[in-house]
Amino acid sequence: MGRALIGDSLGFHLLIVIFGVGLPLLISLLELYGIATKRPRARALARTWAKALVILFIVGAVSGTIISLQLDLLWPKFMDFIGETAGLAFVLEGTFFMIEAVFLSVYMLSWDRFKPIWHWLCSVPIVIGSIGSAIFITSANAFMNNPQGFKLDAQGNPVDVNVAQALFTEATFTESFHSITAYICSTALVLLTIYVWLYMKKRHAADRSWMRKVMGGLAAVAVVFGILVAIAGDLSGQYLAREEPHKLAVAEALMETQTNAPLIMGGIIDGNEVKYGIEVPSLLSFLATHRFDAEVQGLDKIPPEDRPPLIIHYFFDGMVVIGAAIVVIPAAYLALRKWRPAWAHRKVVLIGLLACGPLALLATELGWMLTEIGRQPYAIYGVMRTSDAFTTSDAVMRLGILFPVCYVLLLTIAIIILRKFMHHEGMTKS
Amino acid sequence: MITAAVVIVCLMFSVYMWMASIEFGIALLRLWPRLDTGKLVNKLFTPMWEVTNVFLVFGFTGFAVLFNNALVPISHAVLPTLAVGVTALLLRGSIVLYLFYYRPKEQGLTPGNAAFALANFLVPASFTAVGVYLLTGQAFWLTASGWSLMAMAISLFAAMGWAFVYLRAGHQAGLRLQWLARACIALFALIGSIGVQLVVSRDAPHLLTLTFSVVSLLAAFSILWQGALLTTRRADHGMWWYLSAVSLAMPLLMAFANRPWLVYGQHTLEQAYGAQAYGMAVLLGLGAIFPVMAIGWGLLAWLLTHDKPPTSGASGV
Repeated sequence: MGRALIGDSLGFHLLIVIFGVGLPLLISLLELYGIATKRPRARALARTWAKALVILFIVGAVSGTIISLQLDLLWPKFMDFIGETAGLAFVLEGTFFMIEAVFLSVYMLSWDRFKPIWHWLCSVPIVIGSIGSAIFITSANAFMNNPQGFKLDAQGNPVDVNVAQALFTEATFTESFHSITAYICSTALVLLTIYVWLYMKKRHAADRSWMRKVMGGLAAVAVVFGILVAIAGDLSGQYLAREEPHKLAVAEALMETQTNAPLIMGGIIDGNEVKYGIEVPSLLSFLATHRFDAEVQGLDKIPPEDRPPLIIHYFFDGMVVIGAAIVVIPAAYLALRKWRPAWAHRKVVLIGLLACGPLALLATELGWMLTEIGRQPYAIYGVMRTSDAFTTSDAVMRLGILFPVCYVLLLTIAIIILRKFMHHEGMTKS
Repeated sequence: MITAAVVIVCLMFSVYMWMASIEFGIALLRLWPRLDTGKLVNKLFTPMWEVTNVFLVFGFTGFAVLFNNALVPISHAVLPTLAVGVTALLLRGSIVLYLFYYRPKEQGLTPGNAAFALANFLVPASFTAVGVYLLTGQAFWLTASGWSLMAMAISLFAAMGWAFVYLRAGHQAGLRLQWLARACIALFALIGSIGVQLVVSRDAPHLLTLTFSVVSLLAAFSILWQGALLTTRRADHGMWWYLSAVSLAMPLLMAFANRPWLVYGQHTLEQAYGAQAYGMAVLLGLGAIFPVMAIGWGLLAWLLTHDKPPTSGASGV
């Protein structure tokens, strides 16, 4: 029940966080572009996107509040431990969020009242706030995956705490780099999906020329950040091989420790093995260490009671395959625009672009499911099991039923409002 | 360090309750449009109020990381109470979006407005109930002092809500609104100055400290001030600021009245305080918010109170 509750909350919140991190940066860059090139259309578009950001920000504020309260109420032993070690991360995350919130209000109210460059400067704290809060909440998660900066006494309590070491681990860097670039890439792709969908509607035929420019820009952003996601993913893979070999072993369904470890793609999980997967010899060793003959730890080195569920193999494969597709498709679109413009806006290409937005969201969700379920059965790896971290109160059953219903309601209303916003505000206005 | 931790955590909750009371007043105006002769709701109702939740998060997270040694038993004890508030918080998000984007001008006793007002009451009420648990060591419904402390807090909360829309609106507010605000202020004053003292002296004498007496004096003074305003027939915005100061100080004064306990009879502040390694960093971080917020809020207040320049093509500060 505890895993389900926090999983519901985090899964929902993540959908909003993606835009909470990606949209401020895109809006800020777009407005700066408009100012620098003296293009009022670009500024007008930034203003439209900012209004959508406000709606999503409000939803994110609600879900984020719920998660913080859930952690304190439902996972008190976990928070007790974190409170002694890396709790500062939660405080700093909230601080950056507050900066973002206040300056978002200033930004929205000052469009016609500040000079453009001063108005754009108001977007900078929003970007800093969004990325800062993402980094610090990710650092808390990094601590959970690879706890450092403390020793345990005989009773299992943390002593000799080094807060900086607890907050800023190698996992903090790899997770933050990977997740933040993924959020920005996903945001660009979702916006691209929206504009492709509008482009395909006949009633927006008059705006198609302008929309093609927007689509090109968004595709370029998606490709650039998609490549960064891939680089971050490579760094993450090497990190996992060094510091979290259990997670890599399960993600890759590597049963035995071996050199020249093969990469298993796809397949069907059958008990404790993966059948019918495609094996590429030595590729896992190379991805993990950049050496084909390196040893990669398998599940045989992990006691059965400490192994994460093998299902994360699907999450990993899904994330990688989708991640590759959503970079290749917009890259192909850009290439067609450059060298075969007549083909670039054919239906088959547009449908491919249309799929990229939802797929990007799915890939991001799969990535976080991989990292969280891959840490099981631990809440703090090697220190505290998930079953020990959860509350013993019976009242949690009521929440278990209510919360998913409330989240579905909130998401439904948010989507309805965003659709209404798109129609009436005019995502196509220039 | 422990005292600083208490001050900072209480301040976070104070700011949240202060802003929540304003939103409660706005919610009540949506329910009773006859009171809203100045059409204040249209100007005041905005979903950006949801951002005030961050102070709730600061307060709760600060409490959890600073007093983590007592978090397990406290969370177990308050979960049933807070489950109500947390659910109301989640529902309120949906209601706010629905009302603002679909029914922004709708007033009167509609399901949406009633749900909005109820949610705006339940969230702070549930957190107040947690505060009463800390002060008495029991759920509020089990003792007379629990009930009287809840009544004092809720009457102040309601008074703040009405007073904001009445006293800040000034001449735009209707007569009924004025008298409702005054009645709530009087109720708070009576409960806070006399009622709660009588009950607490029997039920929870450990609270009868100097700081608790200050709470009662502050409550009593509010009715004296209100009486003076009535005789001079003035609407004084100073009353609003006075009530604001009282509501901001209240959690801190009550926490000091409860010393050395964090949860009366169960956990002392010293036993509960666990953030030895980085308590100062947390406090500095939380304290550093305020100057940054001051800059942002200063800009925001300027934007809200100064009219837009005429659209002559030139804009700027």
